[in-house]
Amino acid sequence: MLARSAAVAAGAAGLALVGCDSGGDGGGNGGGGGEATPTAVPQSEAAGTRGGVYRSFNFDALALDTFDPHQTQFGPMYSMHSAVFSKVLQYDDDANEVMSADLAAGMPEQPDELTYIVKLRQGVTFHNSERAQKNFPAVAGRELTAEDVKYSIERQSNPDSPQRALYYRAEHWKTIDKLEVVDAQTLKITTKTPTAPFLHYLADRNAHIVAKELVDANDTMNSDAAMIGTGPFYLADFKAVEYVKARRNPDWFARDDSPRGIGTGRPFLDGYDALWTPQSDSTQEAALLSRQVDATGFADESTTRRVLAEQGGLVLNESGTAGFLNSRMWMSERSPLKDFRLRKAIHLAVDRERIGQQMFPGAPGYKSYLVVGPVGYPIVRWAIPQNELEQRPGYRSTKEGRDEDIAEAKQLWEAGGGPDSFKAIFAGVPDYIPNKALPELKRQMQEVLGLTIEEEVDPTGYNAMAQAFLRNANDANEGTIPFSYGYDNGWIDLDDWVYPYFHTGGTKNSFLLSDATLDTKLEAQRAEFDAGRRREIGYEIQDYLLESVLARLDYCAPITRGLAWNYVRNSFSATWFGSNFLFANMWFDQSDASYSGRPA
Amino acid sequence: MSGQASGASTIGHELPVLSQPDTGAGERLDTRGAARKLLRLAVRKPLGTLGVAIIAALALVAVTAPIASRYAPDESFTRRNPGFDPTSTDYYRTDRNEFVLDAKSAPSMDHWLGTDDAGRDIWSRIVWGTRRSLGIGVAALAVSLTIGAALGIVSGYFGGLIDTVMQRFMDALQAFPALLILILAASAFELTLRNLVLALGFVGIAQVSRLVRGKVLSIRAMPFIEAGRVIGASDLRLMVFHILPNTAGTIIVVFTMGLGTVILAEASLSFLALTPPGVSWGQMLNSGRNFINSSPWQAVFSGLAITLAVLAFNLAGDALRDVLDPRLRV
Repeated sequence: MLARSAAVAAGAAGLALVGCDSGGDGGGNGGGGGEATPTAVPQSEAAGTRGGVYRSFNFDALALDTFDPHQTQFGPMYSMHSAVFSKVLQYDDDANEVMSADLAAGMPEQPDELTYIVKLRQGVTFHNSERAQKNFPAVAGRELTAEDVKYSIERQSNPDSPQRALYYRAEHWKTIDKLEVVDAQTLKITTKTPTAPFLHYLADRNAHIVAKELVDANDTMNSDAAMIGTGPFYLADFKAVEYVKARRNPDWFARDDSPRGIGTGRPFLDGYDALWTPQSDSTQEAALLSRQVDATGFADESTTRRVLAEQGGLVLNESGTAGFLNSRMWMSERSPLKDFRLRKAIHLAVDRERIGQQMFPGAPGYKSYLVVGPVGYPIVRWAIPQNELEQRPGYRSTKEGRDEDIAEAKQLWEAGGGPDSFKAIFAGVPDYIPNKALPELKRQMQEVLGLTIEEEVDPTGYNAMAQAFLRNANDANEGTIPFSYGYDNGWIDLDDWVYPYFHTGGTKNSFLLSDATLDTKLEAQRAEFDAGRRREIGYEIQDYLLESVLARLDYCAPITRGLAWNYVRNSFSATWFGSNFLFANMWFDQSDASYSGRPA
Repeated sequence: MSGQASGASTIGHELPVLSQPDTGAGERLDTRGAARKLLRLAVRKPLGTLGVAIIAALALVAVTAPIASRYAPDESFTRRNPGFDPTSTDYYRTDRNEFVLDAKSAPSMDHWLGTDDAGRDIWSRIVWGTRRSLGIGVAALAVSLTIGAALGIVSGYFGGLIDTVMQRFMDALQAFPALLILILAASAFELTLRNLVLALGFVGIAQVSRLVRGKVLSIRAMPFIEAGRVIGASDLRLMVFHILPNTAGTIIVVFTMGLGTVILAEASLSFLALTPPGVSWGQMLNSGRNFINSSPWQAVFSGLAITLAVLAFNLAGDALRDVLDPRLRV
């Protein structure tokens, strides 16, 4: 059984579910859509056209939990953090897990499988903006040292912190045996065991390095004033559900790096304004066409297609989103779902294609989602290839395949003595969960299994669900199943997709799952440094999850599409929120015809 | 034709002739005569008649929703994909899907008002939404009328300090915009139908109380109330058996006109996703507005349903007010 602290963490993890739909982002600034890496352009071209504030509609201004970069699990918040803070390493391409040095002067030296020597760049300073000088004068302009890196890691793994339950990456850092500051720019990290994803831990979306002075006595930095980092932009203003305004950090340590020859003097832009998506396609279309914004996504895919066809000078950004729709806060070790046959019956009975089509309606001929397995499809390095996944039971959409799945689901439900009804708690927000997803899931279960789900909708989102989970986790079984239904963050490394959820001691193991075979495999992938072999273990784990466990019910993940004006160069899109540092490479090509008429 | 003098046969207590409502309904029941009167009324008040006809139609639709809807409101429809190509490697297109959702399809014989973005029949959802809107409206107004009328009668009947205190409370209640109170209530309490009804009912109390009190102020000065007091009728008896029936006309008008307001308020809250799950016109309008260009029928028909219901109740309420208010009958 899970310890209570783990259960608390798993309950809190429910808050990570992100409430955005397929529209509104994807205009080329994270959250999906477009190339993962910027396109190289000649140095002179970029360097000659600096300036301007990039404006787009997206979800960055949605602040639902905390500003603290180590505590928030809310995807949109990662966007601002990624522009303001820096990490030891960074992802250039998260789909293929391509990393590069950020604060580090180069990739860490690894003299053996347990040791990492991190050498930091010289002359890295915290933002010296007026805001920083006013709110935290001791930090403004201060040089970043190895002590800051050490503090940022130790903060998250401090068992005495009053906020310890909120550090959901604490489990990662447990592998560290010693953290030694060799000198102001050098850190030596020794792990207890070989940890293959350790470099990922240093590059992950929220592995930000913060200054100790920004953290209050209660071990939080939950204030926009405390958003002072070393990143390419400093936070100028943040108004929840309105905008995030970030401005160029002229002292950015990587300003003259010129990655792929794009030029020195980054960020090229004066800043960016992330405007809260008004959730109205008409408004967004008008703003885009008048160039009040440089990019936007639309809720209705048909609008995207129509505007693209009618208006020249626009570019379509299209990419997969790692954030995925699933049901995960349920207990597979409590009746009635303890019986694997019943879990499998539900897995087979779910019509993922229909759920995807309902939740993410596309334009005629275009899909706006793909079904997902244990690893989201955009993470091509680790995910089961899509064509293979779509042949598997539970994922098949052809009539023949679907009929077979339904027949087997019925047999299993009957053989397992599946109940006629059970009570389940569902998230009540965002509103498309109770209004679209829940009725559809109920209908599918009724139609295939004859199962009536008596729902209780948690109006708070996840609080009632988490409480029910905690009550039942303590060996009780009140017959009500907390049944989350919503987004989960899109992870990058294999380890994040599987270990926290399915390992016996995993921090997101809300299934109360304890499977020795699975634990062995999960630990094996963590210890395997050979990338090819680790990938094979990853496939084995996913096969095992789909054939013998079926704890988390994964449905689908959106494809994000958005439009940007052609004059926006080095536009990018990542598989999930948290890549706004790439705005540093973006610039406006004023010689492009589409730039004409853009308001200053 | 005075209502007070007309009913010589009812109630059966000590004050038989004094307590008839001011409706003129106490005349001998004559079917043909009543029909003729109704017809005359219909001709005289065509808009009111139209309102009543629409209300009757909505009520019929609400009552017969399981039959009238044709489909379950949450049933989603699929159709065979003519472009199905299982060998396609373009995963971002629908080629690999043998079936696709019949979403955002235009009105047709299969789907009279088309389908929404989730492939659900809009007609069936509007029909089930009628049941919800009318049900919530009637229940909420029952709360408003019961409490508001009681407070209005007490306030108007006793007057003095009681009246002053109660009316200042009503002033305070009316000072807040109803939608603001409803949003606060939706945030503070669990989103259940019961709570929604109570909240909608609560915001209507002040207005009902004010109108009923005004009516009571005029009634309490009438001779039959004085006569009741003379023969020893208690305050409670006077209020329940003699004043309340005489406010019936006002209450009917408030009910009719208020129902439209409550339906609109419920739709507004649904639009803001502040109501419990279920098929609702407001929620349909909200989700449909994003598809206004590619499938306008989603927003248009749900908006029309709201408009039609509110309009009907207002037309009927206006006509009833004219009919039941003796001053406007002159």
